[in-house]
Amino acid sequence: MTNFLKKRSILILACVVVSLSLMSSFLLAGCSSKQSASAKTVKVAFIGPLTGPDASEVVGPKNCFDLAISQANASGKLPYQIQSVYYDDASNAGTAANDAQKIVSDPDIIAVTGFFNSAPCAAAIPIFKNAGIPLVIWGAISKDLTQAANMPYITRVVPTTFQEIQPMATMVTQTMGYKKWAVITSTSTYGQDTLAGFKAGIQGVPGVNIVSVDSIADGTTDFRPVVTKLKSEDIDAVFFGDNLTEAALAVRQMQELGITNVLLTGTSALTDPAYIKAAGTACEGMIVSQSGEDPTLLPNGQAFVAAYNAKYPQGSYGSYGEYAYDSTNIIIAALDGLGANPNPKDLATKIAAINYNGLLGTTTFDANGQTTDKLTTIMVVQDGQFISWDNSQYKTGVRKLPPV
Amino acid sequence: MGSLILSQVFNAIMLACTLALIGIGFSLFFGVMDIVVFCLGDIAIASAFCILGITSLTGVYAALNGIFPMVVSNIILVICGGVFGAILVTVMYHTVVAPFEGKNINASLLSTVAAGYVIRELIGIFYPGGRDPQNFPNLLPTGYLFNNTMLSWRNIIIVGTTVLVLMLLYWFVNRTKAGISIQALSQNKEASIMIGIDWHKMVIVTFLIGGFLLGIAGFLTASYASTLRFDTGSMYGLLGFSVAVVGGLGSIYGALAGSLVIAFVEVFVTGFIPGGAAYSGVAGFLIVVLFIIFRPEGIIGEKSISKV
Repeated sequence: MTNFLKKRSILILACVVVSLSLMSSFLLAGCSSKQSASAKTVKVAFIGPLTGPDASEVVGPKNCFDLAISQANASGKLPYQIQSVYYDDASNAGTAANDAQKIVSDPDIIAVTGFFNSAPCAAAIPIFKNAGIPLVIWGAISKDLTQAANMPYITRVVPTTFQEIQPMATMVTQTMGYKKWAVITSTSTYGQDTLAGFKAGIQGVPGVNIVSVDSIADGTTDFRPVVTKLKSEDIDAVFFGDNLTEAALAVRQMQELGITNVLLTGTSALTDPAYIKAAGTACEGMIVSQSGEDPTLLPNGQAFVAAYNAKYPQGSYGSYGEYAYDSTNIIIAALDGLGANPNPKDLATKIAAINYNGLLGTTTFDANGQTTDKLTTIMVVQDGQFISWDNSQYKTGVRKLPPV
Repeated sequence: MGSLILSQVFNAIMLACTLALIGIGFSLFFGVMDIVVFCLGDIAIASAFCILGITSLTGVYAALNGIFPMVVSNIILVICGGVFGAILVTVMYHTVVAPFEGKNINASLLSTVAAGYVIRELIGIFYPGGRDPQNFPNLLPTGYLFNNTMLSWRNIIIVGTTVLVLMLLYWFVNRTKAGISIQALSQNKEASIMIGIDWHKMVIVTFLIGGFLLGIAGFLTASYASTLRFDTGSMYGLLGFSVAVVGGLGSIYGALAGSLVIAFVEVFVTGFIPGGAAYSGVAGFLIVVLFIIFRPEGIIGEKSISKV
């Protein structure tokens, strides 16, 4: 009996460990930020998943942040040298809240730019807002992160999922006429947001309907039950709202089970060479929309690409690097003119009212702190590469998309 | 509808095959050590990365293929993965389990959770492009039997390998001295040591065999998904643990039964309940909770009465 009880108690303990590791959200008690009397040091913080599943996506943005800070320090236009500090949220909301507490308790940190994932961002926003530290978001794209109530502290340079998906959704439904849709997305905040964005994008287009929606937990590797189900439904097209690994697995398993004659569409999360590498030939002809534009086609882009490649010959700036670069430069531009002892509150007010002409064009923030610059590009996979839809052979009709 | 159900049954059987071996891994270690080793999923995935690493070293793979026929060199690769798993498990035993032997059992439990995190992050950091999803090479033959997409040769080989490994394990546990010793330890550790079973030696044997099984489990699951990512191990391990709990921790056949239960629940919730995909994980883990509350010894667990 004792042996059995022992095993049972170990089992229960094991389950406690599992549940603890699943619900990891420990909020530390709030610490108040205090102003230092003489600000010799001015720090700007970068926060994002430097480790964990999304770490590869953040190498480019972090480099772009470093590039902007080092350019500002070299130019000497500010009366001090900015120090960069880095915080790792590991794509985890609890970790992000802890990081935010550390940031607001460091009196030298004047501003923050950050967040690749929406959930950690949402967890950190109240902490920054209460402490009066400005946060400029470069990567998290959930619609609700920017709100009038958070002004002037929380602003965002990247278009929301809604702004990003809209042009693509209109094109494939209204212009091309794909009617019967299946959606495969993630149960995460991001996945539900892209789903809502897609639904909003196709709303009002006559005859278009979503036959099935499957939200699948991140980390799932077997999509065959869903794909088998889709096979029995007569669909024209599939929208993928999840992250790149899951979408790659799903399109490969669709190809494997013989669903090859439907249009594939997705979000900006897929515009990464790693996605095409993982999905292989299964993603040929897939259409996605991405916020921003290839920097080399932008007026100020050549200088950015040249400077980036000179400093980081190894890596690419990634899907969000240009946003990290602009958000850092917006903080720097707002610091200009605040003197040798800047105050976070003045800085936040100045950021919210900025009219900044940078890499992505002119950025101003609306009443919610959301950028008014809605630059988006529709891309298509052609010969294993994402290229702009406007330059593709799919647009000219040389290559054919699946029939409607 | 009939063919849809049949297809989903196939899907469930395939999923069960990828879960059965890791579930057995959990059961083996729990049976002998009385602890749940939480990093088994990560060890299995690390072994799959080992196989992936060898195939991406073009020289080595080409040389293997030059010396042996394709089939043999692929089997050698899988064995390499198994050996890697066995080595990793043994190293892990000496570093994070052995130091806590006879001390607080919670410490070794937590240290294995930590070890899983370490293995995961080390793959992410040191494998080239380790955080990106990796294409797992097609070591199993492609093509279909009877032109049916469900009956691909790959699927058939995955089922066949699982059955073969289970049969070998059955033979080992019931017909060899070491296997019977492990059973004895699992049933009554103190008495087994008294009659002269070398506990320490048997622990090492269990870890080697378990590690080898995990290597094969990693290979099968990576081949089935055809894509591998450094952090898939945590979810895989969690499912393996669930399988072992539902089947009965410590029972090898229980793990097989548990994997079928979990796989059928997950696949059928996804396939036949509209919008059910979001709840497949919930349903799977709910089954685990129900088992812990109402039948903690699992489907084929050892009978608690015999211990009173």
